[in-house]
Amino acid sequence: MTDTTETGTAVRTDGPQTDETRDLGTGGPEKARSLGADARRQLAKSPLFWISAVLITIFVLMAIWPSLFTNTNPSEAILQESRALPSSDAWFGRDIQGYDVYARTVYGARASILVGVFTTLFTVTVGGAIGVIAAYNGGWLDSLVSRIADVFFGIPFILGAILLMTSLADVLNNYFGIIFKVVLALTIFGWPSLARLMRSSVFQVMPNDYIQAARALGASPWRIIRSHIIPNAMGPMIVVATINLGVYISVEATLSFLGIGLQPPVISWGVSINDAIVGLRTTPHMLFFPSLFLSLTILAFIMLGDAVRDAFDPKTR
Amino acid sequence: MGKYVVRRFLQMIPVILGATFLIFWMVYALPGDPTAGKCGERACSEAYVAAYYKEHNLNDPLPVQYVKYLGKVAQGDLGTNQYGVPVKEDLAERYGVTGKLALMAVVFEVVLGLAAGILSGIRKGKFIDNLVLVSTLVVISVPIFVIGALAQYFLGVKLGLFPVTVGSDPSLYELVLPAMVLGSVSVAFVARLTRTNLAENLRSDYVRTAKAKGLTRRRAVGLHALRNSLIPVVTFVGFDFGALLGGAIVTEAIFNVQGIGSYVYRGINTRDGVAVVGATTVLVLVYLLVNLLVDLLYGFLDPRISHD
Amino acid sequence: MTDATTKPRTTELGYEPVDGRLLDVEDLFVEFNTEEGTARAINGVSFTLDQGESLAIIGESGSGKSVTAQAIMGILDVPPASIPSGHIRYCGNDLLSMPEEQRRKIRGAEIAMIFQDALSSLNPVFPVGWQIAEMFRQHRGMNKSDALDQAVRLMERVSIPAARERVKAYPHQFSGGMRQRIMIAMAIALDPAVLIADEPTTALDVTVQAQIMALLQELQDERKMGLILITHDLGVVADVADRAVIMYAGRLVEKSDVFDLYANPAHPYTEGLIDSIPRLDQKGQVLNAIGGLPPNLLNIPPGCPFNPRCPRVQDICRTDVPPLREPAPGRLSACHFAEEVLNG
Repeated sequence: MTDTTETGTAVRTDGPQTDETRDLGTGGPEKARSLGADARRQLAKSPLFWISAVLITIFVLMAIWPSLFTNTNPSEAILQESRALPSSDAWFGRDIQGYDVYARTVYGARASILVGVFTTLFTVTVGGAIGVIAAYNGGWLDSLVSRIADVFFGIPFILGAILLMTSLADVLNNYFGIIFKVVLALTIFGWPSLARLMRSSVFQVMPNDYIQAARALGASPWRIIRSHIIPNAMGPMIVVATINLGVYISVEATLSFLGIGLQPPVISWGVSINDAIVGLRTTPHMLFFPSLFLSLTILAFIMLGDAVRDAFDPKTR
Repeated sequence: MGKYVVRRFLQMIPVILGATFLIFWMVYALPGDPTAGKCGERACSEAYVAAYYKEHNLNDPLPVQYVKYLGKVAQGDLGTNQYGVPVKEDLAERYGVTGKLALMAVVFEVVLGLAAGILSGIRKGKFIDNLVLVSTLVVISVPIFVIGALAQYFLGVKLGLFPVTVGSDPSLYELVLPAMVLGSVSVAFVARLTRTNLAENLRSDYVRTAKAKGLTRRRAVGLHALRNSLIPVVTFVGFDFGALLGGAIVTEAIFNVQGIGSYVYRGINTRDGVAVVGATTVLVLVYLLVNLLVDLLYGFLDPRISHD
Repeated sequence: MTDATTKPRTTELGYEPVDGRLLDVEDLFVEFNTEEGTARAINGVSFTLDQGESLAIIGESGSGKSVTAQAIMGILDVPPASIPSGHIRYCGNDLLSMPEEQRRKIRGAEIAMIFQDALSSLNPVFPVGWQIAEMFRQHRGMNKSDALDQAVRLMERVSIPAARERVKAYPHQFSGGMRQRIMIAMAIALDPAVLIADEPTTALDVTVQAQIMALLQELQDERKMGLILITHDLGVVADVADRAVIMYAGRLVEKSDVFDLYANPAHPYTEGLIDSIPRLDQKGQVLNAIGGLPPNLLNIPPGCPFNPRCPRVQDICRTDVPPLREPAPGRLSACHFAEEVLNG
């Protein structure tokens, strides 16, 4: 997986860099503001943030309560109306097996959101824990963990997921089992990037004198990690986790499209798109709607991550 | 510089060993029946199972299995697919096409990405900058198979600019559309990366010095700033190659390009486990090799790394 | 020291000092347009520089000293910076009304500048010799090998050992002091008439500081350059400078000969600066810092900009901007009570 933390996103910089103007904020009646409060204000002003927040809310709602959005049963196929164009009866038309595309699209949100959320949860906890433990203890443990992370990094995301899913093809083939497998595959190849992030956070914080002071006062490692390292790592972690959520949804959809990810009985956007490709030339509507929803979901998460990153970036003061 | 090369080589070895071990473990050592899914939709016959166990040394202790597996891979023996054809032979026919496709995608990615990124970086905040930002965001968000499907529909079916599918032995022109689709996400990343780096480097102290030396603005930007900005971009292109290989599977599937990617796709759909694993292993090894080369190139470009 | 018998030097591009005067900055104003308003960084600064003279510009961060230097060099980013009024004359020619191409030729070749942090100010991906030689290749059209020879010669002149071997090395392979010497070599390459040194020794440790300052002085004497030394370190000024100007909030608040400045300051701010130098012969005393902070350039207080922090402040200070006047011969000070300050 390409590490999205390394790609550039908008870093807005106005103003010259002479010493004089860097000190514009000093002196005078202004109070110093904390980075968190500043970030929140900047976030509230950002249109990207609001658009993505709205989109995410809609899609999460769709995942949790699909019946809010449609009354139609997504598993009800009317074969005679296979490939029907959008009409008042079926807003997005029907797909090749006669399913209502709108209903399938709405119900498809759940699988993608579940995979995205759980994968993010696991990669952050597992990757974060490994990163902190390795970096805090340092020495041979750190080197070993780094080498192991390199190995996982050395296998491209999709290729690794394909390998794992192929090997597990015969186990756990019910709804939650399949989702679990996909989450597992993505987590196994996704944890290194979070671990690296946590690790660099630790290395930023550890050399400081106040850490030495805390240790001298008898603070336990857990306390140091909790009070100093984790707050410092918060900002970048949130940014990366949010963007990764979008990426995981994208990868999951790709796997489903290839036929190796989510499969029936799970309803997912990737599967819908895969089914619809064959009708590309004549009835593109079957392809268009799930693609739109999928893209908007991913876009929303990535935009959110971008907006949070800009808010936390001290260079845009 | 020589020391640096040797060092990188040595560092590569444990990673290759580790990666192959991981693949081996995922494929052969997970709990469950290793022959499941390898015989198409049916369960395998007893004779097949016995032969399979023998061939893959599954009766040996795990470490021995791994060593023997490594030996086979080193010799290029990747097993036989479900039709009895050695995977190695299947792949041999397909390297060329995938190689061409990937190379074209890289060229596309570098040229367009750099151009967009440079334009955007110099004219920060202006229209072209915002245009690039928005369009790259959209391209990154839309999954590659959607881009592929859309491109196929609009540029192929509707506008007829490119052939909708590509048969065997394709011409360079026929590969253009798949290559553009394959490289699309990477173009977006390269553009953004170049933009940020260029913008940052333009504000740096050494560019200030270049201006103070009375150099033309063109030289200060085009030579001094850009040269520094290229380094992370080159590294990115190398690491992105992995995504390219993964993306090739999707692209070849959509456009029916007869390369290694579509071989994997076909294997997935026919549940030919050996074919899938064999081809994927090759792709992983290629990726590791490319990474090594990029690392070396990086050392060549950034003297802070190679001249210690 | 300006020598009465110093002959005016005609430079490569044909500029000649007018009556020995190299630079004449007159009533310079510089503003920055930011999202939060207009920052008035330079407010009516005037000074001159003669051939062979060393002028120190002293002030805290935010005083405008670097902006002044960059305005002279012409390397301010013109949006957001702007120069609403003033003149900067080099050998009689106003730089601000010159076409950019003509000005560029002067930059680096006739007026050169060195910066504080040599590690970040040198391009990390090109060898040092290449960077020095670039001056000759770009300004004089010299070919690569001749230019490189010149670079070696310059590196030897600034006392970099084994210059011929190290000419292909990269900036990160040198120590801090050596890097600063390389910057100096680059700056004096084309024999400029004016050298501006912006905090050249701030990032270096004390022994190296002394060496660098000695080198600068040597080069200045040898080439009869005008030297502008920008610093906040009064210790360095005493050794090298002939005259000094003190800047505060973008204004000149005192202008004087260096010895007089130290012996008898004429402005409360200068007094504060000198008092705040720790002294070896005073043990166990509280350090005298100047209380408060420099003003926000977006919002300079009315009257004298120093009034919020001045120990001698009176009502008039809060309403009337003190003009730069001459409370004693040869001494200029912008304070309503300059005479009181002078007399103790």
